[in-house]
Amino acid sequence: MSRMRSAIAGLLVALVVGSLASAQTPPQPGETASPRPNLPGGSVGIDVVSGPDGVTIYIGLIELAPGTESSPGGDDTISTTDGPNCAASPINIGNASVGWVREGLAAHPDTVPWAVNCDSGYFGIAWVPTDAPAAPDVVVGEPPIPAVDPVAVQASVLGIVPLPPMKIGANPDVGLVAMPAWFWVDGYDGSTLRGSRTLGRITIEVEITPAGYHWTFGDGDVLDTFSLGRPYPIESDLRHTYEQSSLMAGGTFGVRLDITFNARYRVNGGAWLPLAPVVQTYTREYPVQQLQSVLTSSR
Amino acid sequence: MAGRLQSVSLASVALAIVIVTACGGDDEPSVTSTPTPTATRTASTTNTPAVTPTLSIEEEVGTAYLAYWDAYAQAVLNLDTGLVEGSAAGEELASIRAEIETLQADGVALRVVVAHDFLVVPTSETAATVVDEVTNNSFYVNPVTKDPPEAEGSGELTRYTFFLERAGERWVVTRGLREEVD
Repeated sequence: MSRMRSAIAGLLVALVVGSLASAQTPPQPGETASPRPNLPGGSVGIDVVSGPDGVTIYIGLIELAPGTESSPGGDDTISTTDGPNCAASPINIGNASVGWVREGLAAHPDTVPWAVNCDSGYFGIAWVPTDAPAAPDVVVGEPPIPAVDPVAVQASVLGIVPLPPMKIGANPDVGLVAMPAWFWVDGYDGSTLRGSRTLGRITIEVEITPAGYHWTFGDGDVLDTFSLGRPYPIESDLRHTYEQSSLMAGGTFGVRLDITFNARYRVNGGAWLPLAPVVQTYTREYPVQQLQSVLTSSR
Repeated sequence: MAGRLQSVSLASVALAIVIVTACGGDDEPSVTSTPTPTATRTASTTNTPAVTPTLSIEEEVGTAYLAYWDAYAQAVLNLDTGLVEGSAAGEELASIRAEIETLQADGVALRVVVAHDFLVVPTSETAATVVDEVTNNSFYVNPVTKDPPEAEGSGELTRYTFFLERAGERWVVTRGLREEVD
């Protein structure tokens, strides 16, 4: 027993030592290496936004105090109470053949590079349009989110929210005059549906909730309900009794279901804003037959 | 200087000449750090005054920047922080010291093999920033034998941003940032 314990302990020690060794294997001569590996990362976001009033350079640094805007003109400097001082000035590249400058100019046609310096230690390159009417403003923070047109959102609600494949369920498949037919909404449990769409820096979330179900049975009768009905073989609470066959209606009755959804949306996780209800329609051709009694001889 | 590979693209022809000089030999480049022209008599038989060319800030900084890399390469190859003390200061010097301590602890040295593609951005008379996209093929070596003399590098592209300040008659690197380039 003690031998087994010591064997297990030895195995555990070997595993721990092995894992430590594999995690901290020192580099070997000949292996590739990177110079100045312990320098801090310098990747931050710069957005250059052109608007009717000119060009603004947004410096997306988390640790900077957000939202202070400078006044245009010359080398542009901003001062914030709590944050850093940042300045932007055009870089004199002369006839530089520096590769990344050439690539930057190719990727940002009709621009010139501006150097953005902050006394917090940040440095970055902003590609400013050559036709900017004046020196760009410099703003520490994220660029403002463009306004979202509710009309556009309204028009694409059902494009943003994926609807499950719903259809009208009915039993029996062929109805009988004077016999109640059962109906239900097939493929949907009545839960709230959500969807989202992201375009650039804007994410729009849309949420729709069923507000009612309007049934039209094709024979002139309608029914408004909040019930989805229940799928066969469960007895559905949505029933309709046809009083005549569908022969005179062209062979089938056109059953129609209009589901009204209350809708709302929000932008980038902000407050929910209302939208007009949206209606989704489903149809089904439903044949109804007349049972005929047939006299037979009896003995 | 063994193992150093530096191909440089610069903002001006004049600066390119300076850098070619800097890359051409093991000696420090001959750069006049004062921005004002100085005319001096020479021992020339033609008795023509030779004018020491005036270097722009970009040229001065570019030369100092490459000298910094040379010094850094020697420091990490020989595991001697003292070799870079004339080219780096403050936060940058402390960072290199820590890097060398790590190399010593790992029992290796570093042979720096890099190609530069940099632009000098002066921010004042006494401060400048260098943005450099470095193609790196550096590798570890034995700290005593310095072997292997050559190895296949990674070829990774890294964008360095170094901040230089004028310290008396010379420019020193005081801080840096690094960012992997896609």
